[in-house]
Amino acid sequence: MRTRIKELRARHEMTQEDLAIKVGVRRETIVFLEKGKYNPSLRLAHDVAVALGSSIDEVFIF
Amino acid sequence: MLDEFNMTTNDWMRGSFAWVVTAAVLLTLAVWAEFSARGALPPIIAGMILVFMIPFLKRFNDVIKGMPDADERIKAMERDASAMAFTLSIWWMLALMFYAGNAAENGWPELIPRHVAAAGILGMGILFGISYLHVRIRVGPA
Repeated sequence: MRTRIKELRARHEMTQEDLAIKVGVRRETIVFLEKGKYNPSLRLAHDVAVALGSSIDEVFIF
Repeated sequence: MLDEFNMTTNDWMRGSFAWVVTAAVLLTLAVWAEFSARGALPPIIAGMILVFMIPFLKRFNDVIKGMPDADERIKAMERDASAMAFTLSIWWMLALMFYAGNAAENGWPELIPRHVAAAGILGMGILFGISYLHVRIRVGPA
């Protein structure tokens, strides 16, 4: 799975730590998500998408 | 205080737990070093304990920054590592019991019961650490 988290995060001038705090996870989880090494729950995917002002299918590419 | 760091009471309790564990480990190290027949801990065991303390300290610092102590990925990793360590521990204990039961008649160095118990507990701890690293680095949580 690929993600556009890094790109969207940069667009919103958001650090990994900012996003982690916003969605309530640890920073390492954002790192794993960006690398496509962790498949998030639907809830976390939704929260990340909302935090980045996008929809789930815009952020996560299957 | 809680609002200042955007932390919940639960976060504080979990973060403080890391410090309590750390203090307990350091106290145990001090007592062990003081009363050990050799006067000091074997360096390899002391080093391993210190290495395993690092994640606890890191978690506490993350909690202060406003991140949760554990999230869904951490819980998934702990679940997978526990399952792996449980299976490995059974084999470890069986191997240890086989060794202890057959050492005398095969001329192997014998283990007294205290050493068998210590090797069992220490082995299980090490196996969990190895399993956790394996899940984190090689496999990744499901």
